[in-house]
Amino acid sequence: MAQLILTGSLKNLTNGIGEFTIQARNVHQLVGELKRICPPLAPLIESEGFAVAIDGEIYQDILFAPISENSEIHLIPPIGAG
Amino acid sequence: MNDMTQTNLERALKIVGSRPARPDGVDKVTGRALFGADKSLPNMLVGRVLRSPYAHAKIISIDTSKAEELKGVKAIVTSTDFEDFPSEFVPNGEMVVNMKDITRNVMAREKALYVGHTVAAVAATSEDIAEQALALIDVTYEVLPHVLEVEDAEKPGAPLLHDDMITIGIEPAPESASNVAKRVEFGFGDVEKGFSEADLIIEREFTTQQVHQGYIEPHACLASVSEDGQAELWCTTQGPFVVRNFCSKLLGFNAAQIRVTASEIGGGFGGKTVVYLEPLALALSRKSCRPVKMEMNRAEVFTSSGPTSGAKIWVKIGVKNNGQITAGDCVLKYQAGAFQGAPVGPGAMCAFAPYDLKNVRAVGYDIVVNRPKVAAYRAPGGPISEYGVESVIDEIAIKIGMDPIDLRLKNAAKEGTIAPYGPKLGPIGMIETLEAAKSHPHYSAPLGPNQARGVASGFWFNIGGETSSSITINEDGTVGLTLGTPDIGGSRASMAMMASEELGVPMELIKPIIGDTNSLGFNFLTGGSRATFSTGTTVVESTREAIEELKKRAALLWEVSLDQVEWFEGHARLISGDEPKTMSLAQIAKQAGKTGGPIMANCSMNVTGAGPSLGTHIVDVEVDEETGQVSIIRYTAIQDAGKAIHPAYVEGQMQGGAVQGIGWALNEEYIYNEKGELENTGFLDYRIPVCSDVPMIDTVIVEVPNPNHPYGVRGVGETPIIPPLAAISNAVSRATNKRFDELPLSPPKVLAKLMHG
Repeated sequence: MAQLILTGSLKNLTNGIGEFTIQARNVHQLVGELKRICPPLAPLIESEGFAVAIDGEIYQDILFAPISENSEIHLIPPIGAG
Repeated sequence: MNDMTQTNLERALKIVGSRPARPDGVDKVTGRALFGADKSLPNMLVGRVLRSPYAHAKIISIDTSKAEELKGVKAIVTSTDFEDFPSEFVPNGEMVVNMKDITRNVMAREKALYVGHTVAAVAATSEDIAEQALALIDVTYEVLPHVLEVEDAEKPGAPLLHDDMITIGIEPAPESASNVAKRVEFGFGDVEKGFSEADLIIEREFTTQQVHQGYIEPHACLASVSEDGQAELWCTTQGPFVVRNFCSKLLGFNAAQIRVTASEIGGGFGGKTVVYLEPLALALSRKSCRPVKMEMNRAEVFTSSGPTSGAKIWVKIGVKNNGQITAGDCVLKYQAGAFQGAPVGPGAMCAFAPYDLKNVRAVGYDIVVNRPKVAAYRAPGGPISEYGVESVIDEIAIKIGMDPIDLRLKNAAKEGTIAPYGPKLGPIGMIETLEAAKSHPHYSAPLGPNQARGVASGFWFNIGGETSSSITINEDGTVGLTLGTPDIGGSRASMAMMASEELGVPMELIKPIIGDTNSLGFNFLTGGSRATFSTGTTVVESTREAIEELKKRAALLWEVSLDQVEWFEGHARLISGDEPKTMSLAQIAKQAGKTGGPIMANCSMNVTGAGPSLGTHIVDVEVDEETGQVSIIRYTAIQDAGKAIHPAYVEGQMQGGAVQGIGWALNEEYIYNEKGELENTGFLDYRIPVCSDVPMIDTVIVEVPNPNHPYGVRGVGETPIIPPLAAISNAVSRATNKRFDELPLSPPKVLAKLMHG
């Protein structure tokens, strides 16, 4: 099972809970899981207002980025461009 | 990680890493290159903009009737010519934007929110007539109190820019509106516990001023909309596809109706990633059925395009006497301008990112004020937050008697470090840049009277994103590359070099061009240090696909299977049989029609795997204690580029970023009067550095390859603007034995500190 780790202000949306165990093989499935276990987080990804870091690599707006059994997942804001 | 072989990281390179002449060089030095304002069309009209004279005012009415009667006036547009949108964040390329704000920034609706805010636009047969028409437009305003600084804007009772702005990121949500659009927080660990373990805690507040990117070429465009609604737009931009998407939404076009062609660009630095004139010109052209050309003058660039934020910063760092940082904490309050969207998120994410910390917190506030809406500027948000942190790091080094580079080395982020924004970092070059700085002759060079040396480091993420490119093998053996990211820093040369390296043919045979929005799939803009990384990835991928096709054609001609053919230095080579056989790219291309048709390949990807770039800068300053003048005596910029495809361009990016940072540190600032009017709207009063202000910027390229790019590229454009702010401030503080905490370090401010402390 992959681990979703939340830090900073995201924990405000989960009553202070910072870790979730997630059964998902990609970001698309992650969104579905979040809707089920933590509804306030799902819109962040669905609205594309957040990127997903999987094992340290940042995926912006990629639904089928692969998540492995032992992946560590973070939600972070998308990085802009200068 | 992208699905690409890593062999290039090990193999000997012939073209990549060399310094060939730039493909666009002759056009640039002969004046043949066409920039935003250089294109004209028959029957073209001139467009001009009426701007608000007030920093904050309700627009009661706009009467254009007198202007419409003026002979030569062909079209006038106001907010009623643009679609309105609900307040919601929608994707636009890779950006999430609020179209309600964008349509109001392009053309004021209910209120004018800053001096220079667009209120109406006119197209006429001459510039004089357009100017006369602007004077005939009667706008009735109800002037409102305005607010310019974040500390005033967040006070209870401050003038509200948006009656419906409820702060996001605070639980429970506030019940009333304010000018604070958003609160963000990043970090982990227990900062209070970390501070309790510290032997020394330094806590300090800093102020930075709003600064402009200072691109030399003002915004300009030429729009032509035909009677059947087909639109052509020529403009100076970092992202023609982004412009197309913005304009189509604002004006109700579909994407296929607008073809956007990016001109050559005279600087962007993030400031040409949004739209200002483009939708106005399209609207005027649609109304008049004639081409419309629009240009900003320099004052308009300053008052009405997007600079970056001014900010208030609070930083607290705890440290053991041995230099081990026990906790870092900061609060960042950034000006957003008239609409939300200050780069405080990335600012908070990278504030402490150069360091491996166990207890860290960064809180940011996005605050609207009656200034132009900020736009991206190199490493948006990073220079401001890292200025505060790097200044405190230097102060700590002095107080515990430790070399500032050794202090940074002791706490440096490395592969496996958990970044303050959560994920573990991959391979990065923070330690390598610090070691290169420490061993550089500059770091141990003697200093003269009133001189001192400052050091600072910087972190930027770099990004990938949606990217498309194509390669065409011409029948004479030359090669065409069509790229979708405008060349703002030498990317055409880099792309041609990577294709040349892959194909094994001279770079001179490869012609790279920037395609329009109808010639390729979507490309996110050139920015975020992404072009050489992302477009380079697609160029390598499409070139490899073309090579496979070239091998297939050779196999057909030799009547062997494909696995009997390899590609070697511009030739197909038969790897079986008694006699060696080769066929050059040109020989295969010549017969392309007979062996299956033209040879070309495309690659479209959402590129991932960007590698962060870290840099460390060293600066020597001399402070004139009688005038407060700070002179830059010597400057060295060191940065991890991953791999420098064209080292001269990488050095140019490092030098350019350093010089812009020098300007930010020493002189640049938006100066407003009590009415909210910008008082320094030209380069005489808004003082960017010129050649005589800076020494030659020495550079050291560190190469810690990014494993996710076929040649190891990270991207270099953003990071070099981050360290100069703190490096210079630290040097001035050391030269004067007074800790400076406000930018710019202009002579009056330095003198005041020297005289009054």
